[in-house]
Amino acid sequence: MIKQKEIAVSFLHLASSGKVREAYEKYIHPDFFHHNPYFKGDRESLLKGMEESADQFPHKMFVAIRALEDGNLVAVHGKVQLNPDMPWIALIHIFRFEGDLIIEEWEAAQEVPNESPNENGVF
Amino acid sequence: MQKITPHLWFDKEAKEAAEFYVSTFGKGSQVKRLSKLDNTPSGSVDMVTFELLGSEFQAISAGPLFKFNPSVSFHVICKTKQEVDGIWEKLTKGGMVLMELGAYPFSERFGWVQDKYGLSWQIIYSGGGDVKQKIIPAIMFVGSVAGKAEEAINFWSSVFPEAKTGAIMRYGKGEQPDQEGTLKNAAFSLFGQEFRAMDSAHEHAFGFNEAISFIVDCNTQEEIDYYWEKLSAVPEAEQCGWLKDKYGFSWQIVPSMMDEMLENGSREQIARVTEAFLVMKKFDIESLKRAYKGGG
Repeated sequence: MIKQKEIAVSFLHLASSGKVREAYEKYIHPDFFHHNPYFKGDRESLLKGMEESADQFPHKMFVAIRALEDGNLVAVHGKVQLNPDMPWIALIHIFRFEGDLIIEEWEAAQEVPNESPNENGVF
Repeated sequence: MQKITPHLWFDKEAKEAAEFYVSTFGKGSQVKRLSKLDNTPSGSVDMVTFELLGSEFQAISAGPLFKFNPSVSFHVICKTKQEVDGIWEKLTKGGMVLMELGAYPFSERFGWVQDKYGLSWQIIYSGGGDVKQKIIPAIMFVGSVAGKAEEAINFWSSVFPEAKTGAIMRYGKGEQPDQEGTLKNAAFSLFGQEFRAMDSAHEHAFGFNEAISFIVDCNTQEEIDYYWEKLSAVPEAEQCGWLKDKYGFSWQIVPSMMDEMLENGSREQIARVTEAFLVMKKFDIESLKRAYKGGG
């Protein structure tokens, strides 16, 4: 039995490894829409944006730190590095599911500063 | 993938054994994946993922370090007596009978056999009832942990989600050396997967070892950290994602993506990941991914 939480993390792993179209085919609803402010809100626009990003940053790395599930919503707290010499970006994705497929997505990102007064670290 | 997958450690025979089990159990059984890891302390090792009657298993050929013993066996629940007899015939070839095939108070047709590779199977006629999970790992608490089966079930149930305890049968008075109240047989489930446990205070020249371990499939680093912290009780047993809990039972806490890396990676990528994980105790997803991707 696969949980929505696991589907969400699998989607992020697969998409960030460069296999964007495969990730969409497996996990994203045909009527998917999203709230990423840098792209148009439809399925194809985000897919293309992610494919371009994958071409631009072949060494991109995403790490899922934790995942939370509440009804048909899943939140994934993770971090991404576009290239090994670039700073980490802290990410929170929220996915709304219809059945086993993701139908809506929100995200928020924060670049991790090199120096910070916070001794606990970001993660 | 199953959340908990039995892992079998062979000397050299993992691939051959997987094929033998697949042909023995038939429908619902298949070899799913074969891969090779080079440059491990055991040299080049074969890894096999296979499915038997709908349950997934993994096996490795990693040298003669550990031997199977009946402290962990597998129940095979059959809907007909004919099915019992068919499987019995194949598994007993070259193997050793531990309990002769016949009628027992708990099953009209039952037998316990150690197959030619030393792995132990209990073939059980269900009485005709429907069977949800046909192969069920059975854990026998012997030696210094005899009498601790119930405590272990409670402990594991507090650690793993979707845990439930089912029917329990206890030893009664006059069943020495087994203490009254300890478990003759208990059903429980973790992650919704069925297990059985029992105590046996008789003299046994065996106990839990690394030959049979259970892989816990983890999606996030937090999940890995959680199981590691809850389960690991023997610091010197911590190696390459392996740990032993307070009962000496072996678990492997493994990120899901490991499978994908070993399946899809190039030779170089697999070599880099292998090199990275061989020096790890608890797996670190970030470092594994970094090794896989290379370039930094």
